[in-house]
Amino acid sequence: MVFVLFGLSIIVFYLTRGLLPPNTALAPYITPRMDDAAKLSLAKGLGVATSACQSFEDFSMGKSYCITPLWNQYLSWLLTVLSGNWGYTLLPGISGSQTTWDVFAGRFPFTAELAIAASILTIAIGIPLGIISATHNNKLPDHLSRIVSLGGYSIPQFWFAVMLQLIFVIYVNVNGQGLLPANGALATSCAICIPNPGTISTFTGLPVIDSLLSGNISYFWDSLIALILPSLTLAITSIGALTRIVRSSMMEVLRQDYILLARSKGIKERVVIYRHALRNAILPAITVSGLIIAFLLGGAVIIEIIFSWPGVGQASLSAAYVLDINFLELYVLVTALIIVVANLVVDIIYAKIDPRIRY
Amino acid sequence: MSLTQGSEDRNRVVLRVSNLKLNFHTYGGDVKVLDGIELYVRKGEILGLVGESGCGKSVTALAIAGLLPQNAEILSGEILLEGKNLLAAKKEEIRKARLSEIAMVFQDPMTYLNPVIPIGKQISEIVESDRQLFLKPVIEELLNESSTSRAGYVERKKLERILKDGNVSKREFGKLAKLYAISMLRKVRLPDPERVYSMYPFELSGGMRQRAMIAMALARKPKILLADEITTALDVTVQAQILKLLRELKDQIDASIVLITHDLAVVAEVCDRVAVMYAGNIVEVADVERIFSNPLHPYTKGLLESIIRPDVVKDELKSIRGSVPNLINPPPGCRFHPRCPFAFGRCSIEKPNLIEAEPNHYVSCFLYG
Repeated sequence: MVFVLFGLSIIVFYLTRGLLPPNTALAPYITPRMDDAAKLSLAKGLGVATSACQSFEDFSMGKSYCITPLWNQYLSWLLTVLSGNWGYTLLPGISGSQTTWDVFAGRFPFTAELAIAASILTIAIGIPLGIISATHNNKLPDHLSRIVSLGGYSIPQFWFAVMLQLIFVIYVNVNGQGLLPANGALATSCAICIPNPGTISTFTGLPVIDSLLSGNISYFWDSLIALILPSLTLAITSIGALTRIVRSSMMEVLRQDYILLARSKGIKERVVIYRHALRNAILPAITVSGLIIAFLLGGAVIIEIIFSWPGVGQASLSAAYVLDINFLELYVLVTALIIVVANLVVDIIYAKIDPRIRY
Repeated sequence: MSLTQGSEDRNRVVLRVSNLKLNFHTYGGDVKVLDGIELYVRKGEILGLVGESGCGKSVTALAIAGLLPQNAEILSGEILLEGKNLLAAKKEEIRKARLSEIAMVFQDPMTYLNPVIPIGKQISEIVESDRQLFLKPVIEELLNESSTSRAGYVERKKLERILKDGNVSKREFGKLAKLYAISMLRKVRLPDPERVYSMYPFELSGGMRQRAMIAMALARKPKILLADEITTALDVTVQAQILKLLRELKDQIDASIVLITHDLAVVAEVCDRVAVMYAGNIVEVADVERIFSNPLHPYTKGLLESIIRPDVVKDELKSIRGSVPNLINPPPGCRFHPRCPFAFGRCSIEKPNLIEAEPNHYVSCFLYG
């Protein structure tokens, strides 16, 4: 796991530093009043410029005597970021006023909240739908579930998002207000929202959990309502994927000999399906769920933009525009870390469910 | 048909299958798998059901247990279990019948046990699924066992009290079910049953798994045990042990067994009566000695001649000429006539009925009337 992250940090470093002009590396650390001499010493301090470098001009032109070898730069970079120094953000509007780390840490909980909500929806809808599909193979419930899953899988998310907004914000309205909020992570102006929810203190960063911990139920309600449309949009694709996987693996398991034996024992069909079949059929679904959760946590850029969701996905797109490479590096590394951890968790669950697997 | 008026003792018949016809729907057409099966099983006997692969032995067993695949369609017939027609019964009634009256043991112990559920749980879940039904047998079994073991007096008292009250909490019954499952594992002679209880199928050998599967059947104290090729996947030495075990247990719980096999040596060893099947028909039924000493049907004769015996030197291995017919378009009349050395005109036009050629020896062939 550590090796994967280490390898990935090398790739990320090469892609951002090796391919871009050397002074982009300095950008997050430059303050407005720095002159060229100060910039040069900063470059030397960050290990990008050699000590032999005479002028900042030569450095930005990329004169070879000025630039330290890439592996050397990598080591200095690794030490800098591992000590927590990711420099100042270049994001428009807040450029230079906040550190990259603070911006990321402030936004990440929103993405996490959205992703967790979408994962819960995916698993809570996808798995039962897949089971129903398999047990009513080629009957009406299977056809309905097929329409939902293939439809959901094929619908472009941005279009689905806009349709949801049209329906629940514009068409369905009560007293001139839309039923659900169109954007933001806290809904204060919609038909079922509570207008002044007050404030909460920060524990985990996730508004839904923090509001409960602070005992502020109106805040909790407003955050929950704000989650409905974006998390549904985010989940719709993965629901389709998971449903189809559960369906096919369930159908495969239902054909197995041990299911015939279980039926021959005269136990209830419900027990046959949930105890005997599901435990075997759920294994591939767990693999996919792990990947889906990791994928969702990595941020859904389009959805965050459509719903003005203050998460990292939206910020990473802006970061790409302004070449805020530290933010991008942080984003990629955290996403990778999540995927690696998700895989680890999947492996652990696997071993718990299937006694044949031992590590 | 003639079997129903036969000279067998009616009161002792547990299971009777009459005129069972069924098709499998496939893309290639309807496969006429069973073409009027006639069968009865007496109380306490072992009936051998023999025939080649694909002749419908297993399908007959699945039909009796109500476990036919979805593409099967029953055209006619009756399956009477102690007078109750299972084919006319509701799904739920058939499930109940499987729970307490008809048990099935399958061929391949490798694939028929659930890989992710401990062996013991796969046994105890049966009795746990119906507390009302199994309360009495479970407690009686445990009392029986505690009288021989050194289990304490207090334990007996408690069991007797539960038996008298007639009700028990789910949790309490779960514990009893576990003890019961362990006692079943002991009955099928699995070593160290307490440990086997929590083991998974992949940790057991083939013979042990087959014993575990028999324990699952035994736990229900069934009236009929359908044993489908249970020795096929086992070593010869283990085969003998399993067959011996099966016969002993049958006597203990007073059940009847339908032993499905293609191994005539197994039939000779354990069966009381034999029914020979060919292409979806029962062609001959008789006591096991009769079948071996005086086979009547040409197919049975061919089958017995094709056995390889070390004490009889033959120039050539005997076989029945031709091959098993395609059951989508089965031969008209007697389904065996294209391969029969004695076939004559009538055979390809009319289907012979099962008739009693000599006392308790039934055959369906025009050579005998």
